[in-house]
Amino acid sequence: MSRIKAVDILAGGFVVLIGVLAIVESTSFDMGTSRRIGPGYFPFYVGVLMVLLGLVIAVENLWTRTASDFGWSLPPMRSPFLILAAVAAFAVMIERFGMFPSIFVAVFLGSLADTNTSIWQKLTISVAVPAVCVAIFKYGLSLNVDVIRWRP
Amino acid sequence: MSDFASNLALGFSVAFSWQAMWYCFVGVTLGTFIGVLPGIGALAAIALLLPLTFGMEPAHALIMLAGIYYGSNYGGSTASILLNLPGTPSSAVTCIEGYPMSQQGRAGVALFMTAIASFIGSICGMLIMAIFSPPIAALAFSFSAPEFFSLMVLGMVAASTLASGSPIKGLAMIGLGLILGMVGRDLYSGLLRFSYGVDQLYEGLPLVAVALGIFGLPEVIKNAGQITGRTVEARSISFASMWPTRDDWRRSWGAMFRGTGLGSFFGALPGTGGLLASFMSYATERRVAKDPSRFGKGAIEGIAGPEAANNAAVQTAFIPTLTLGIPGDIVMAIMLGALTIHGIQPGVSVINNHPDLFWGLLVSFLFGNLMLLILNIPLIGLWVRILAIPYWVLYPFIIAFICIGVYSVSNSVVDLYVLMFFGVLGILMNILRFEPAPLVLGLILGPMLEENLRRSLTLYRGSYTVFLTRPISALFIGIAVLILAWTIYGMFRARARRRAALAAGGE
Repeated sequence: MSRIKAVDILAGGFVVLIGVLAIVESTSFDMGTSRRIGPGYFPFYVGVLMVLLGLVIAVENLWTRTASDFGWSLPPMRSPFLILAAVAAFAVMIERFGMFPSIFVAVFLGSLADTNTSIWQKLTISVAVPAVCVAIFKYGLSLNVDVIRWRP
Repeated sequence: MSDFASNLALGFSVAFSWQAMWYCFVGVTLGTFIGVLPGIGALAAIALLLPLTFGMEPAHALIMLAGIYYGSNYGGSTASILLNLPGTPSSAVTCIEGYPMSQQGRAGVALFMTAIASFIGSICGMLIMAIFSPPIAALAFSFSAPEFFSLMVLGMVAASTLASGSPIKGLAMIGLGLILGMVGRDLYSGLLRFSYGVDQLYEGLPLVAVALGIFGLPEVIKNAGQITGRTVEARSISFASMWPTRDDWRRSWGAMFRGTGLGSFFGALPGTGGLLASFMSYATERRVAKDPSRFGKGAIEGIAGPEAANNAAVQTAFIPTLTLGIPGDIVMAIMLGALTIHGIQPGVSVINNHPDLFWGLLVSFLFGNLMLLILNIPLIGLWVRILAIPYWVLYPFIIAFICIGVYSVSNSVVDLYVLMFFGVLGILMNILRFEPAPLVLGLILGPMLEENLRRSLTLYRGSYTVFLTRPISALFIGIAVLILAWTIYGMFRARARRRAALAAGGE
């Protein structure tokens, strides 16, 4: 039960934090008047609303808990980490090395997220996916991206 | 009436061309494919394919993207029935009766009936769209900034409180979406807001990257290494095994029409959609059944109703989207984004300024649904075989398509970092149990909401009472307040019930 409270308090804190960020950002702009609202007006009030909602979320669970809320735990981190790494690899490589190498690396990193496949399966898919992508995007849809380039 | 006929004629002239038919076919086929595959939803698929439509005519682009959406609703039930794994969220309810039917060897009948129910729901939804859109658009002509502001507030309140999950958390995600919608250049002052030094964001956050980050990446992350070893018995589903018995037909007709009614209503309501409609339909069928004990054990009306409902909802969701510029559901929010990218300003003007687009799209629904009927009844064996593709083969393709899709929108690496940022946010939201759908709604409506607030206040000399003194605006605000009050009442009642339960337990 204490874990559940922890999640909702974190969630509420997250919403309050975003509200505060919005309010802080809005102070660097002119609020204007309600007749002629400035660029700071809308962010400020949405920020205030967020702070209020965040506070409600933090205390809400005290009176609306349901059975389905139990059993929360932190999900495993392997798959999120690897799949974000895959996107990062693609982002870093696409303009330096072109489509084939960047997708090869991205897919290989991503395939590591599945622990049930063999290394040969992973390598096969890492070659197959960029090959199919080149066929579809470069030759099928004539996307303006080099298949391979060298601009490290 | 002659108006109606000439509108339809216009629609046929747009939709009845080789090109339009081709894009419609591509859309519904891709949609069925994506719907059949668990682990990638219509929303991610549409965001993914949006960049490919940039070179097309707006009407063709919309026909294709819409085809993906309603096609995925047909396909979504296949995995529900055969594997007990919903292909799309709105077909989750189909698992409840569909999978038991499959275990009883009646998978063919279930698949056949979902296709028929989907078709009937879609066609009725389409007719409702054809009949009600012009008067709603005409009414909307008398709307001014305060009405639009109030209607958007209503849509947001409905979307966040009637959807699954905590209503307050839903509202908070709308708020986050509104803030994210402010990123970039402010139209009036020209100042950059919330860009934190990233000047490339001056045009606002790239929609495709945001949607794929928040829906696409977390889906892949959640399923990678998890969906394994599913086996579809390669039994061929013969046409003979698909034909429902007379008893099946008798049970299904009423369910389909009740489902269509519910679906049409919830679809047209801004912010709510097929998911809610299909659950409501299932609950209704259980309630009206003479023998509710059959439910959970393969009652055919429990799939016919919800499938008709979610397909009707998909069609009627286009009503507020195209007549008012307010998305009927979350996929429609992306669709509005697509319209904007194609240079069509969403709003009351769409049906009036681009009648070819509106009526062409409408008529394409007819062709698309006929194609889907063929794809999903005689060709069902093909889709069953696709279900056998293991996820370890599939998800690397999804990762690659997401990367290329995001990058190709404007050949910008910054978009890829936006994708990663929203991937992280999506994971965080999963952990903290926030629904992502209201966020995207807020993001898309945000700029329109601020603009209409500004206009209302300027027009009516800074007085907030304008939202309550103009009758239509007051009506929208009133409904929004009622929904909120009802939600809060529900929360209090849940609390009271829990206390009663605790007291009865002697604690």
